[in-house]
Amino acid sequence: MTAYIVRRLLQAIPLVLGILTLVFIILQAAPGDPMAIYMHPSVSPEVLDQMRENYGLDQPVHVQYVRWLKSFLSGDFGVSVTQNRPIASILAERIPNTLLLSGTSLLLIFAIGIGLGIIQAVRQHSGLDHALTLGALFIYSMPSFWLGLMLILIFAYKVHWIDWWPDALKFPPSGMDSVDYEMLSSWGRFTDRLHHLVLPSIALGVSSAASVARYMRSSMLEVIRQDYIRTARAKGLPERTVILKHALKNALLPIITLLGLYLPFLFSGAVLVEVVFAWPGMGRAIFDAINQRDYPTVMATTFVFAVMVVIANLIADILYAVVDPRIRYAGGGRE
Amino acid sequence: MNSAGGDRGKRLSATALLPGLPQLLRGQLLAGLSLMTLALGMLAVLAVGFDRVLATFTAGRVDHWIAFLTLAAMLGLAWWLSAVWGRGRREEDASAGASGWAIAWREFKKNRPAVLGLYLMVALYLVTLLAPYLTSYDPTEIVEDILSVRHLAPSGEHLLGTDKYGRDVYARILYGARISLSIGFIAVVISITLGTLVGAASGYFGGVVDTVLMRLVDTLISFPRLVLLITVIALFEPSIMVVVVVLGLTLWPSTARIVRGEVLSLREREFIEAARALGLGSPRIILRHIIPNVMGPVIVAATLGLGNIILIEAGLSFLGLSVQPPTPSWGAIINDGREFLLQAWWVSAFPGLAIVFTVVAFNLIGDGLRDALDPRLRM
Repeated sequence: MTAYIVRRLLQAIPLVLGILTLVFIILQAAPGDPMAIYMHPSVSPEVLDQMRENYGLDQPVHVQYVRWLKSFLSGDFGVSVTQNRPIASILAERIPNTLLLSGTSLLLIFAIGIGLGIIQAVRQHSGLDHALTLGALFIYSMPSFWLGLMLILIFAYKVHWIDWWPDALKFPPSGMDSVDYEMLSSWGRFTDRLHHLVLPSIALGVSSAASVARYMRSSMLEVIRQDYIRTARAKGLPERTVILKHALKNALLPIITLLGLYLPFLFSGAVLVEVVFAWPGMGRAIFDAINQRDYPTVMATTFVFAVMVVIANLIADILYAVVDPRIRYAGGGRE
Repeated sequence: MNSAGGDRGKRLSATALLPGLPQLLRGQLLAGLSLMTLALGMLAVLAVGFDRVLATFTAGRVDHWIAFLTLAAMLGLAWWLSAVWGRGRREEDASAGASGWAIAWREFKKNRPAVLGLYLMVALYLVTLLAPYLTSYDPTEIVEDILSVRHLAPSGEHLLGTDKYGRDVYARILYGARISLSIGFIAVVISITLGTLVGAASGYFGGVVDTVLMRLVDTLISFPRLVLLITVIALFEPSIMVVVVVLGLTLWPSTARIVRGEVLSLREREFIEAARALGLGSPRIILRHIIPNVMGPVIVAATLGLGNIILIEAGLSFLGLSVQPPTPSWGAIINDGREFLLQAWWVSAFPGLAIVFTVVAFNLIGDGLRDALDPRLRM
C-alpha cells in the first residue's frame, strides 16, 4: 500500500511541473508588457528599467523560467498589484472558503446521486425511473450560474411574499455569513453558515448529482444481476439487506473514481457560482483579479486550482486502492 | 403495367401539393410528418413575417439575405424531397449489404428521444438562420425613451418582455442563438480535429511520442476548464475569434484520450498489419485506415462536447469574457438580468431555458449516437 502511494506521489511531480510550465507559457505568450501597469508620464524610463531589473524581466527566458519555478514551488506567488499584499496570503484566505463550498457540494452530489441511482436501479423501467431519468437529463443540461440565479429569485426573494413559508427555508441571496455573524454563538454561527451554504452548494452540485445518479443506476443494475446477489436473495434475506448491504458495496466502487473526475468540473462551476452568490472564494478572487487586470493573482490562482485538482485525483486514486485491493496489486506487479 | 404506372403518376401529382403527404400515404410516418412540419413551418414563417420577408430586398443586410435563402431552400427542399423520397423503394432488407453507417442510422431512428433531439437541433439552427423573420425588433437598438419601454413584463407585444434598455428579450435570445450555436460548432470542429490527430498519433506511434503527448493531455486536464479558459482569454482581449480559438485549443485533450484508447486496440489488428506490410507510410495508415475506424466514438464525443461547449460559452459570456455588448449571447443576457432580478426576472430566466433546451437536444442526440454507433451495446 505504501509503495502504491509513494508511486502515485512520484507520478504527480511531473504533472505539477507541467502545470507550472504551462502557466509560464501562457504568461509569456500574452501580448503586452508586464510593466505596462507602471508606465506613466511621471515614471521615468530609468525607473522602469530599474524595476524591470528588480523583477528579473531583463533576464533571458530560461533564467526567468527557473526563477519562476523556484518561487512558485516555495509558495511565493508575488504581490497582488491591486491589493498590494502577498498573493499567498490572499489565497490562504480564499482557499478554505472554496473548499467549504465544493466540499458541501461534493457531499450533496454523492448523497443525492447515489440515493437516486439506487432507487432507479431497484425500480428499473418504472414510471419513477423514467421520470428521474428525464429530470436528470434536464438538470444535467442546466448552467449552474443560471440555476443559482433562479434559486436566488425564488428561495431568497419570492418566498417573502408567501405568508406561510417557514423562515428557515428563506435563504440569504449572497455572501457567506450574516451581518451579525461575529455576535453569534458558535452554534448560531454554524447554522448561519449552513444557511448561506444551501443555495450555492445546490446550484454548484445538482448537475453533477444528476450524472452520478446515472452512473450509479447502471453500476447498481450490473451488480444486481450477479450470482452472489441471487444467492443472497435465495438465502431469504430481505430485499433491503440485499440491496443496501450486499449490492451497494460493489456498486459504489466505480463511483469513487468519479470523485477525481468531478473535481475539475466542480471548480469550474465554483467560479461561476461564487460570482453569482458573492461567495468570497478563489473563483471570485480570479474573477475580480481579471477585471482589475491583476495578472499575477490570476496566474497564481490558476496554478493553485490545478494543483488542487492533482491532489484530489491523488486522494481519489488512493481511496480507490484502499477499497479495491485489485488495483494496488495489479499496479505493484508491473514493476 | 402501363395503367398502374400512370395511376401512380396521377396520384403523385395530386398528393405532391402538400409535402409529406405521399410519404404518409405510403405509411412512412416519420418522413411524412417531418416533411410536412418543415413545409408548414416555413409557410407559417412566410405568412407571419411577410412584411419582413419583403423588406429583405430593401434592407440590404446580409443576415436578412441568409434568412431569405434559408427560407427558399427549405421550402424547395420540402417539395423536392417529398417528390423523390422513398418513391419506388422496396421495404428495407434486414442488414444484408447495409453499411455500418446505414445500420447505425436505422438504430438511431428507433431511438425516439434521440430523434426528438435531432428535430430540436434542426429547429434551433433554422430559427437561428431565420432570426430576422421571426421578430421585428432589433436586438441591439436602444430607443430614446427608455423609461417607458424598460422592464416590460412578457406580453403579446413583447413575448418575453424587455430588458433594462427596453430591448426585446425574445429578439435578443433569437439573435443570441447565433453566437452560442456558431461558437460551439466551430470550437468543436477545432477541438475534435486536434484531439483525433493527437490521439491517433499518440496511440499509433507509442513510445516517446505517446509519453510526451499524454503528459500534455494530463496537464491540460488538471486545469479546471473554465479557469484555464478565463485565464487565457483574460490575457487577450475577449472577442469571438479569441473565444473560439481558445475553446478549440483547450478542449481537445478528452477527445485525444478516447481516440488513443481506440487506436491502441486498432493498431494490433490484421488490416493495419496488412497496410504496413504493403509498405504504406504512417501518415497514410493513420489518415486512411485508423481515423475512419475511430469516427464513431469521435462523433459521439463531438455531439456531447457541443452541449458542453455551449454551457461553457454561456459561462464565459456570463462573466463578460466572450462576445462584447451590445451583441447578444445567451450568457450575457442572463448577466444583464442579474442586476434587476427581482424587478424583471424574465430577462435572466428565458435565455437560461434556451440554453437548457439546446444542451438537452445535443445530449439526446449524443446518447442516441452512442447507442447506435457502439456495436457492443447492440448485441
